[in-house]
Parts: sequence; structure tokens; C-alpha cells
Amino acid sequence: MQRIEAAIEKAVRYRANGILITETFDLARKQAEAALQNGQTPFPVVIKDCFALKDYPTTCSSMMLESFVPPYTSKVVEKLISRGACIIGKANHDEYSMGTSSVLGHFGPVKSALEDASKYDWLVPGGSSGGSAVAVQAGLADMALASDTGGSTRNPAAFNGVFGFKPTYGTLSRYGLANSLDSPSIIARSAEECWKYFEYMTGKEVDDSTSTDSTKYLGKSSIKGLVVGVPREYHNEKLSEDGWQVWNSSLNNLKKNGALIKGVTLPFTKYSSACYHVITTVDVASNMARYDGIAYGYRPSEESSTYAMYAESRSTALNTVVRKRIIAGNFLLLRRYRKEFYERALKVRRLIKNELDKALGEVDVLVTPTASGTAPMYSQLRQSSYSREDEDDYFTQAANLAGIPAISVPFVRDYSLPIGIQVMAARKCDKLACDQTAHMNTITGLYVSS
Amino acid sequence: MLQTRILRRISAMTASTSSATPSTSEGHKDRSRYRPVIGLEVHVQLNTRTKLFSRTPAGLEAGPNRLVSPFDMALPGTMPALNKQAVMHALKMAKLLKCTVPEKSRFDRKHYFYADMPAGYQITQTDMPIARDGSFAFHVFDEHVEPYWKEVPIIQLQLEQDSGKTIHHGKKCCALVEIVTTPCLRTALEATCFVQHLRLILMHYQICLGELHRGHLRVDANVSLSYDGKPGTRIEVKNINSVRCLHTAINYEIERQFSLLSRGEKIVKETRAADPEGRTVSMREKEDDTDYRFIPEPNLPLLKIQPEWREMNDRWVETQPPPRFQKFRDEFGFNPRSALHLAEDETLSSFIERCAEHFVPLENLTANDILVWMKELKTTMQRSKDVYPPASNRFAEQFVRAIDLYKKNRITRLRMLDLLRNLSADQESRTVDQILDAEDLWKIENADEIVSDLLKSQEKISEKARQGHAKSFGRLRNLAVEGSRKRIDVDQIEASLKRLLGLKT
Repeated sequence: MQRIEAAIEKAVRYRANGILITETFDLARKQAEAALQNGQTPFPVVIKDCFALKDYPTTCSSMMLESFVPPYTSKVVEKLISRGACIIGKANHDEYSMGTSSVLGHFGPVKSALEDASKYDWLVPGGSSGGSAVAVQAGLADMALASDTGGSTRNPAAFNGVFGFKPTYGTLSRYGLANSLDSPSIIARSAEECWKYFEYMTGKEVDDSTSTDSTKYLGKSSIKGLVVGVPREYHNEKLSEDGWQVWNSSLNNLKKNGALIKGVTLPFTKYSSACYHVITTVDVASNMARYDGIAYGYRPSEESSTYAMYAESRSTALNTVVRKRIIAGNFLLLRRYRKEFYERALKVRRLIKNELDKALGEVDVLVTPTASGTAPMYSQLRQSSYSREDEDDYFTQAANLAGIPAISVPFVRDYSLPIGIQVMAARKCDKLACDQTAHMNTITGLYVSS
Repeated sequence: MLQTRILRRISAMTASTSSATPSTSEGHKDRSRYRPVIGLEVHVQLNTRTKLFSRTPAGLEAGPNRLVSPFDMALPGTMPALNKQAVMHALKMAKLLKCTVPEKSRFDRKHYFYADMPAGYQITQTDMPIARDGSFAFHVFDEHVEPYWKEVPIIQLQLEQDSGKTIHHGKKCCALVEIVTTPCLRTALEATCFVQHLRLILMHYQICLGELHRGHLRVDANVSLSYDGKPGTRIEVKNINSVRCLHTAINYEIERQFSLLSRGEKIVKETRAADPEGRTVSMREKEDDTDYRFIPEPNLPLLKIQPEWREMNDRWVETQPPPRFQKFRDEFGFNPRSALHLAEDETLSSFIERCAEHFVPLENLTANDILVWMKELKTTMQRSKDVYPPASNRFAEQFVRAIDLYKKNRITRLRMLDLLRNLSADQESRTVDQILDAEDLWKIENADEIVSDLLKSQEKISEKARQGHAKSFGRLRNLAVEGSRKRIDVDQIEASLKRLLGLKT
């Protein structure tokens, strides 16, 4: 109970950081009582606002769903609650999880708690699950539920110095989560915790036909003899000096502790960004078709015709990023372009997946940077017209296209911002990924808990 | 609705995108050079307990917006879960329509905005349907056309959501299988016979409840006119809600297209709706403008058809008794026309089945005898309060026994008619044989004895008749019939009268 009250206190203290869209303190208290009665230890949790929570607003950080209250709860959230989770609030993020900065939500930006934030400039928390990452970093929650379509969990985890785990696609049910390529993901303060919460939530669900049973392989007990693949394509002009140094020193540490370092080449990775954009915009265009303002969502005053109402509803209540993706996705699906873009992207996706599968057949894990460097300031991001977002995506998208587990481990150094290193493992080797990340963390000793 | 790709496939077969342009200046007025080309898309609403992708009950009578789950509302994050019963029904249809069932099939999203379709797309199948390349054979006939056999190739069966009725009409909104035929039908009659036979089969195997006016079966017709074998422009006719409407709408469309073409005008590719009178009216211009932007449904994995599902459904279909019209036609020997007519009527069908128990083992009785006497029975019962045909087993048995006795020449036609009246009146508890024995009503072969007695007793009339007075002859005949208590055939009485009166035969 104390833990929950402390978390609530933190949530109040960090209100200016825009972490939560909806605070659910009373719910958390009720859940804590229920957990105690069941002999469980209550733990504070924050869930990204794109996961449905029965009887509480689920906004996807959009004006479209500002007043939407779902009559059901996401499967993964249900499972967390059944293990003693107490929901402190619904976390802020980029509108419909489209973005890598958590700046563009309808309810205002999320600001990193690592540095003092002002009204006009702040340290970007990364995204889209910025609220979730800051919540864990600032102590509002032991664990935050996030989602990851192209890096949306790992990126903010790296920027805020916490762990971000995107498991194998399908091992956590998407029922109750808005987009179809999203993977429910976990932000926590250690790899062990990531695994613990993963186990709370994993399992096949009848309502989600794409869900699968998890974990074919057990982990490995130590770093010794571990074969670590280092893909050379991740060493590129996007990677910062800082990023390179941390990556390098983490590999050296692994080597010192008995890991075998092996250079790998993944030539198709350079196409992952283009491929990812085609596939996700198409998915977005299709999934967003339901937001027409008829059955639920923003209903405009314009009702002169059904089509006028659709147009008004969608152009008023969806932000520019979302609208652009919808338009691009529909364009790419037109009969005359479909073959050239969409069908090709699907083929490229297969190549990327095969390439990663093959590499992960030869090594145990791949170790890469999670992002190009440390978190930027909002002013820098604006100056670059958000081009930094695309640069960072480069490091994380391939794992989504291949559906493999990937976890970002934070390296926090004195007097400088955290940097994330990413560990990828073969499909369903989630346990291996978590274990190795844990070992890595122990041996490198670079991570300093806040 | 035809999918784009199927359209292309049909186009490849018939090259139907180019319109028929008459080559000679007057040739386009020559009706004999045109040929109707008709293809059907039949939407079969499956008889399932729940909807195709949610566990909301289907087929119940509830008000609008009552039976709706979060998935049906397309709320964010909801996902489809495929109804296995629907897959089983589709596999039964595949067996009945002799289709190939690929190992895997896929669901696709077809996007368009429609106020009654909350997701902004319909989940259907296009490139990888659950079954393909089948055929369906049936008799084509009507009052004027003698039955002939027709085999229609089926392009594919696709499982899909009933898009139009997702929320409203919550009672429906269910699983559909769309049957797409090749454009091989030539007349409205062929199309209606196809639908009538298909309907009976689907109802028999409990795949569909089969009521067209309630939307259990919906038919779209694609109609074009080829000219000298060159394909014409295809018009899709929707909103057809009865077999009669299908017939008139196709004929209307054929006439409309011919009249345009014969005036040298072009057919514009479009979708038209049938109005209640079966006329077609323009709805909107079609596929050329609508791009449905298909994508594979990301929330459903490929549907892998387990071999045991197929075996189970195939076996089930094989072990069911055949549909009534088939049984009537092939086992009982009814002609195709009567077989269908009888099968479409529950009361008549069950009457036939009750009769069949008794007449099928009899070699001298044919289905036609039953038909002939059913007609007589109907006439006989017209003025009675009882329901035609009588529902009891006893009646069916005695009905057949009476026909049998008549065929064996043991009773006269008039006696037979009397028997029908007695039996159907239902106060009669005796069997036909008991009645005949008790009242001694068996047929007498020799009329001369009764006739000569009659002539002696009716000398005046006999004399008139002898001189050729027709009325008197008729009088004598009737007296003889009565005197014999209908035990002698009228023909025999007339022959005997003529002989004994010395008249020319």
C-alpha cells in the first residue's frame, strides 16, 4: 500500500512532465486493497493510453477518442491486474503511437524527468511510449505497459535510462491495443523484471488469433561462451560518437567475460526503414478507417452529408502526422501502385526477416545500439524538422519487421545522458534475450538505478 | 460483390471489358446476333449460432443495435476470431458444389466507407478463397420449356462478413459464403432454376435457412450481351429479393441493353438496382472508379484447413439422405418439374414421402399415377373443409392402395373418385379393402347382364336411344352406372349399350 501511495505522490509531483493523460489513483488504491486481500503484493503500474481499460478513457492521445470509454479491458492489462498490478494512470504518448518523441499528442508533450523542464524547451523522452518510460524512470510505476511498432518502447527506454523489452510478436496478446503491427511491450528497471512481467502476461488468447504461446528456449546461465553477433550495418553515419563508444565498450566487456564476438552482415537492414514505412502506413490507413465519427469518437457539427461528416470528423480530430500516414497508406494501396510499393515491401520484409533469422541461427544474440545517441532537446528536434526521429528508427525497425524479441539495456554514465544498447534474439527466444541482458548489466556495471 | 481480381479473371475468360461494337451498319439491329451472358453472385447467409468473427448470437430476432459486441462496433483494439461453424458450413458447400479446397485460405480487407459498416472495411476473401473451381448441375424448365440439364462452373466460394448488416438488423450481420459462378448462364430461366435448386440444397443440408425475402440468400446478377460471340459490357444488378424479381430483372436488363445497342448506343459499365417490379435503375458507376484497396487481414493468420475437417464434412454430406427434389426425381421417379414443385412445398413433400413408403415397392405404380390422382384428390377436396392433402399416414396408405386397385382394374374410375371423397372426409375408419368388401363394390367386368335388364325395364327410353336420340342414350348410361353401383366402367357400359341396342360402335 505504501508503495502505491508513494507512486501516486510521484505522479502528482511530476504532473508538469505530462506523463499521464488520465490519473486513476482511486482505481489503484482499490486494486491495491484487492491484491492484499488475495495475498498478493500490490505494485504500481502505468499503461500507455492506447490500451483499453474498461470504464476509463482510452484516448490514443487523440482528439478523436477524447471522450471514448471502452467497455472492455485489454487482455494483457487484465492479466497484470490479476497479479496485483495497481494502475496509477494512462500514459501519454504520440497520437496513435505515431512518432518517436512523445511531443505530438493531443494532450500536450511528455517531458523527460532526467533534466529540469521548462515550458518552452525540454529533454525529449523519445517515443512513442514516452509517458511510459518517464513513469518508470521517475518512480510512478515499477513497470509500464508500452507498445512497439518500430521502436516505440526501446527508444524511450534508451533515452530515459530504463529497460525496454519488445517480445516476440504474438507472445503478448494485442487484444485491446489499437494497431495491428504493434507489440505490447514492457518498460521496467531491470531485465529480470522485464521477464517477470512478461511471464505475467504471456499466453495464447482465444480472442486474438495472432497470439502464440511463448518461449521455446530457455536462457543461458552466463555470458561465457555466448556468441554475440555484431552487425556492421549498424555502424553508420547516423550513429553518434557517444553511441559508438558505448556500443564498443559494452562489446569489449562482453568479450572480457568470455563471450565470442562475431561480425555479421545484414545487407537488407538498410531497406528496413523504407519497407517499414510502406507496411505501417498501409496498416494505419486500414485500421484508422474505423474512425469516422459515426458509432463513437469525435462527432463534428457538419452533418450535411455522410461523407462531409466523415471528412470533417477525420480532418478535425486527427493530427497531421496521422492524416499524412492515412493518405500515404491509401495511396500505396491503390490498384495502380500496390504492386510497386506494398507488394514489394512485403517481399523486402521477408528478405529482412530471413536475413535476421539466418544470422540468429549462427549467433545467440545480436548486439547493436538502440538509437543514434542520447536524447535530443525539443528545440533541436524542431530545428531538424524531426529528422532525428527517422535516424533513430533505423536501429529498431528491423526487429519489428522480423517479429523477433529485442530489449534495450540502458547505460547511464556520470554527468551525461543515458544511452541504450539493444539485444536481439531469435523468434521466441525471449528468455535468452532477457537473461543475457541481465548478465550484461551485471558485468558491465554501468547501469545506475535512479 | 465481385472482387476486382475475380473480375479480371472473368474478363480474361470472356474479355468482357471491351464492348461489343457492331461491324456492319445494320447488323446491330439483328437480334439473333446477340446473346445474353449472365453470371451470378449468390450471398448465402450461413446458419450459424454466432457471427462470423464475434461471439454475438446470430439469427435471433432483436431490434437494431441490440446484438452488438465491441468487435462488431469496430472499437479500437478489438480483433476478429473466426467462427469454426462457418468454416464447416463452407466446407460442406465446397463438397456439394464439387469445389477444390486449397490447404490454406486468407482473409482480406476490402475498404470503403459506409455508414452501416463501422470498421471502414469488410473482411472477405479474394485471391485465396476457401474453395474454388467447382460446378453445379440442375434441370432448367418452366411451364413452356421442357426440362434440360445444365452444368454451371463455379469460380469460387468466399467466406465473408455480411457488411451491410453489421449493426442494424443485429439479428443478421452474420457469416456469408459468396458463390461466384462463371458467366455461363444464357437466360433468366437458367438463372432462376440455378437459384431454386441451389436454395433447396442449401436448406436441405441446413447450411442456410433459405428465405430470400429475409435476406438469407441474396443474388446479384451480372448481365451483358455478346455480339457475334464478342463480349459486351457487364452490368451488375443488385437488390434482387425474390426468384421472380431475378427473372424479371434479368429480362428487363437484356431488353434494355438490346434496345440501347440496336439504336447504336453504348452500354456504360455500372451497377444497377432492381426495383420491386424487377426493372433496373442506375445506382452508381462501378469498379472502374471504386478502388477497394485490398490488404490481407492482419489480425487473422492464414486459415489452414485441417484434412480431418474436410473428411468429416465430406462424410457428413455423403451420409445425409439426398435433398427431397433429388429423391423425388431420382428415387421416386417424378419428372424434374414436379420434383421441384413438390419439394418446395413442405406439406406436399411430406405427403409424397408418406405415400412413397407404400407405392415405391409396387412395380405397377409410377410417380405419374400419384401425380394424376393427387390432382383428382385436390379437385375432390376443393369444397371440403379438410386440408389438402390429408396429413395422416393412414390416408396416404389407403390412397396408394386405392390407386393400386384402380391400376389393377379392380375398381372403376368413378368408384375411385368416391373412395377419395370418403377417405379424405376422415370419418371413414375402414380400409379401402374393407369398404369394398363390405359393400361389394369391386369392379364387374361383364356389363351385358345389367344393361340388358335395364333395357327391358326402360323400354321407352331404349326405343328412343335405339333411334339415335343421344339424350336417351345418356340417360340409359347413367342409369346403368347407378344400377351397377359404379362397379362397371362407363366405357364398358356404353359399349354394351351400343351392342345391345344394335347401334354402330
